[in-house]
Amino acid sequence: MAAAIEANQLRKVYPNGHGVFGIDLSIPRGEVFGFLGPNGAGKTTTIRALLGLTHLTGGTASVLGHDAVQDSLGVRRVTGYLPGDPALYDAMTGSEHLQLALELRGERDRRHALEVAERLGVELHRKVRQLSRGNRQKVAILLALAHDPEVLILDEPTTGLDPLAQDAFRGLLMDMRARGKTIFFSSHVLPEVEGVADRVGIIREGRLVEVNTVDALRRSHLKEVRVRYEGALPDLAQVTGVRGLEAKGAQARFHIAGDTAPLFRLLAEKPPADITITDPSLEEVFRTYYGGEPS
Amino acid sequence: MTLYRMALRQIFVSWLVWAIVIVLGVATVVSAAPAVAHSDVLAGLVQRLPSLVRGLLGGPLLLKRPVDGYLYVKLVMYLPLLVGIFTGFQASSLLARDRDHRRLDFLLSLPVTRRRLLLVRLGALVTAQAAMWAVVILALCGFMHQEGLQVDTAGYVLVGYSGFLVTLATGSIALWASAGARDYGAALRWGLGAAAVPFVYDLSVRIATTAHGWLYILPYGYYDPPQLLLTHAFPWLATAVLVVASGLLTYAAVHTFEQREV
Repeated sequence: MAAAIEANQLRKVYPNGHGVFGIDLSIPRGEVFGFLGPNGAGKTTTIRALLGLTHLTGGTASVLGHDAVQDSLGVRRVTGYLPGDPALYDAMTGSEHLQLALELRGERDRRHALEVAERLGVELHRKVRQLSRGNRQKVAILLALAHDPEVLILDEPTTGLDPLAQDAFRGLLMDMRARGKTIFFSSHVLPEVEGVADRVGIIREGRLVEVNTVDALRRSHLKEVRVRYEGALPDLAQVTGVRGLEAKGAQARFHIAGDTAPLFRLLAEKPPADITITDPSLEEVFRTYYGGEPS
Repeated sequence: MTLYRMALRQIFVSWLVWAIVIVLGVATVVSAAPAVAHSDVLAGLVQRLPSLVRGLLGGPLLLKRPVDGYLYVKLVMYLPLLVGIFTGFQASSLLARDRDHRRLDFLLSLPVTRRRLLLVRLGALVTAQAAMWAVVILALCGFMHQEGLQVDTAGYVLVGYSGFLVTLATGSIALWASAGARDYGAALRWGLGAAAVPFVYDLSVRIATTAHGWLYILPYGYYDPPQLLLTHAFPWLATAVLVVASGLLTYAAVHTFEQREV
């Protein structure tokens, strides 16, 4: 079965030299994919390229078999898209936006849209200019979800949402995942991605530097180890893979990378009174790509 | 349909303001016509004018039908410019305003082609423009009737129709220019510039009309209210030329819009 979202050597270079350079992605149906990267890394450019909203410099992209260049309309028909910082019409109400979106999609049944609106607490009958930032974001989310799309592409979806609305939104995503929908979303709120995504991709300066499951990413990165001895500490600094050792009396904190066998041999020879080994959070993993190893 | 209604709604307030201002202008000029447009006085004035200026002012109409000639010189001559400015302004705004406010992202995330988006909006503008001409010509004929003047309804309908064609082409020029403009401000400058072109062209052609009659083959030359009022001849050639020109310019605007980043 074809992937829900596919990109091969996707390339978009702007006149200023920024852009994305050879993105390869394959996201199967039913997966929730988190797309991580700081501002300017190329997240939005990648999303716009997937939807056929920008002219590609090279490569191909498709969504549910619809080519982003040749059949951009087909892509947008099967996709719900939430732009980053969405701009709506101030003089129109949420309801009018919804009517426009559903009509252009040829969707007559408003029941699903109204259910989403109710769960998000969207104020449908007020003009957009009268809405707060968070309530505008709710309208924009509603417009992306209104037609119950097979593929959902969201650019920083929780921006401006209060915690309750974020919970409601996460609930909607979970429901969609349970119904086999494919969700691609970019975010810089890493714990949010951690809790929802099956896999994550990390983009840096227009290049995809890592694609993996959240667990695998954590496992492949530094683990934090804390040990406490009754007597003197063994010579941990000599153990292969130990980094950032901080020793204080009979306690030590350090990170371990790569092969953990040498550490466990030492721990077997000189067992500690207490030991804690934790995987890094996704945020710590993310920082290794942008700011070096966690200290 | 919602897209069309939405475009109409965006234009409506501006349309209403322009329509009110123009109708007030029409009322003012028409109310003065009975007192000013005396055939003998006008005839004396026209006879003393240099031939270039006489051509510019539609001399034959002034001589044969002083009231209509007076209304032409004081009002009808400027209508394509006024409606053209409205049209140029609106045509420039069709895409550029939404692009500047990043609302095109929202619209283009829906399954709608750029071509359809532009054509639906242009359709709304053409509707607004046709309505503007209809209101202006109705007001002109209505006020003339109210003042007890003889009303050449058929002639003024032809004048309104030709004016509509001219402003259609004006809007198409503005649309084409603004589709490629870097921002809303630049689009507006192009749009308003486009509105002035036919007016300036009309003046220059009218001045040079006897020596350079071939210039009338160009679109605006065929919009000649004095001739329309005198002959009632349907402007077939103007219709063909202006419709084709508007179509080509719209095609160019669509092409430009499809090629550029939003």
